[in-house]
Amino acid sequence: MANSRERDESIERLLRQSLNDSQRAGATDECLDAEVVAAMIDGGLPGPALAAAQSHVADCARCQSLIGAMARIDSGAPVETVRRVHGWLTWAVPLAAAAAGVAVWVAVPHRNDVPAPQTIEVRRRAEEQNVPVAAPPVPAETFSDAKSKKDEELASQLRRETKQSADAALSAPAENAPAARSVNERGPARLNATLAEAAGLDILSPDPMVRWRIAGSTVQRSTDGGVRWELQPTGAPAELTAGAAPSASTVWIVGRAGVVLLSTDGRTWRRVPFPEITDLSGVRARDARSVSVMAADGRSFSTTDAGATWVPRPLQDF
Amino acid sequence: MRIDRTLVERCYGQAKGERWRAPKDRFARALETSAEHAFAGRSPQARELERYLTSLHLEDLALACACAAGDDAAWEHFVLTRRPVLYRAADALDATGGSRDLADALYGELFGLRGSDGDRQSLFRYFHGRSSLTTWLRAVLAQRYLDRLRASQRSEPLPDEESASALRASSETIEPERERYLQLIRAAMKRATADLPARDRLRLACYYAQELTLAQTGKVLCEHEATVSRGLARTRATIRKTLERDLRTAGLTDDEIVRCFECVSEDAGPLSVHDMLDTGTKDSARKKTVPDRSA
Repeated sequence: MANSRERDESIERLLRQSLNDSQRAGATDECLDAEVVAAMIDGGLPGPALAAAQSHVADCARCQSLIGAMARIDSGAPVETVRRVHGWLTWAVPLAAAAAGVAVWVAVPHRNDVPAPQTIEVRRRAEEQNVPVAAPPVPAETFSDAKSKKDEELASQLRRETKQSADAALSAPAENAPAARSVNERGPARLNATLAEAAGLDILSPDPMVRWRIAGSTVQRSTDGGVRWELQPTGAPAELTAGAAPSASTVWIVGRAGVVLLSTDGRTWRRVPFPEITDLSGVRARDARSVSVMAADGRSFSTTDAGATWVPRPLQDF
Repeated sequence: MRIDRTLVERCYGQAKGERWRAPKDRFARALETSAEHAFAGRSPQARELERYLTSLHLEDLALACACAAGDDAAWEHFVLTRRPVLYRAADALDATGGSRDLADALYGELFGLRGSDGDRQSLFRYFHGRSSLTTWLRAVLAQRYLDRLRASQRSEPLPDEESASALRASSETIEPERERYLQLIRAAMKRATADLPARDRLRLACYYAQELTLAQTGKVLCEHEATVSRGLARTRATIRKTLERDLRTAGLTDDEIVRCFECVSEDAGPLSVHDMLDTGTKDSARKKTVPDRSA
């Protein structure tokens, strides 16, 4: 092997081998904590501290892994993960999930279990007074069957007016339209409420195994972390846009034309009366009684009595 | 370390602490802790301390203090601005979304858990403002992710001695001279890398062990990727000279040194760190020559 290039390649091979073999893998007292690593990445370490940190990382596999992960996060490149998918499972699992979905779709009768208002009383806006608005009663008839022609026209007009802003809200980048929320159960109620705010189509619950997802006007639920999905009949008459799950059994979902759905057992749904036919694009839920919903036109409505009364207010300035 | 009240007030104003109603005493304690960490027990001069404190990410520090104190507005701002960042970081760590639960779990610790004395201890107390809050959150998340990965690795069963890979390994016949050449050159390589400056070793580790790109390596070392490339080339040349000198010192002839390098080239070599983590493809994922990662 007189070729210089081949000799260099051998050195590269040796380097990978030697660097991987000689490093310490266990944590030591000298290992960098997240704060130091972050400061190192952001240039916040002064000369001597930086030199000491670099000297440690140069020989520490553990800290190198952390630095490597940080570098990949920064550049948006995926970090390799442990995957245990073997052979036939790579195609069999999604195929089985799809088959199960089709079976459920066929097996479940498409009926409107959730009653909706026979006539929808459109209330005048009451932001100025900021007084609770009594929600209309919800008779046991389907939304589409019961709507009067006048209501239909009004709903159509409102949809046209709000479609543009709703679409903009739904298609906003991640920074402006945060994805579905979930939180560790250790967090306080206030934190739960904030984290339960959702503008995405996936609804995570504090229990990582339990989640919902919205597809058009349908809702699906998974109790195994998203491997299998069960279609849930909601009878929603309009497209659903967002949801929030403050617990593993309580879920609020909102949609266009003032659709607000609530499930307190995670399986069955009821339509919650809402005072206006306006497109709703976001929801923050504290529990089964307290929720704030955001309309596509910027207003928000809150209830603390599970939707019996709603208080309109301008959208909070985040 | 006590910090002059006037300096605290100046930092508080620079941090716009009033926006989040960050408690001043908590903010002052955060500054003191940060300075103690930075100066490692020694007492800096007043100007040095001021220069350090005013160079911190003070707005982020004030936000962290307000969140640690449980201010609602601060929390809402934090969640709305940092959650997408955390989720993107989680997805970069695990594209399957399997790390999002780690990101979610952080919020509980950030808010704080009540200890036996009833005091709420927030994870924010470890943020000292030497980086942006976003970078710190990413680092915390990355640390949790790697810890979980290591924990899962510890629970992996060892390969069965009767497994196909074990049998294959034991059935390989190794040429005695080849094994000696490999041992010699590997020992020489360890000595050569150990003698390098720390910065050069870190550059090598980022590129060859962590398999970062030149740009990513440059980010870690605060170098331009062209500088990284030149640094790697220079270090490789140094290592090569050291290797050849060491092998000659060990009594090898030029032909034998050539044979040493040939043995390295023929040797499949060990699996990389990432390959070792991926047990499902352990047999097939032999290490290859590193592709050009200049992008």
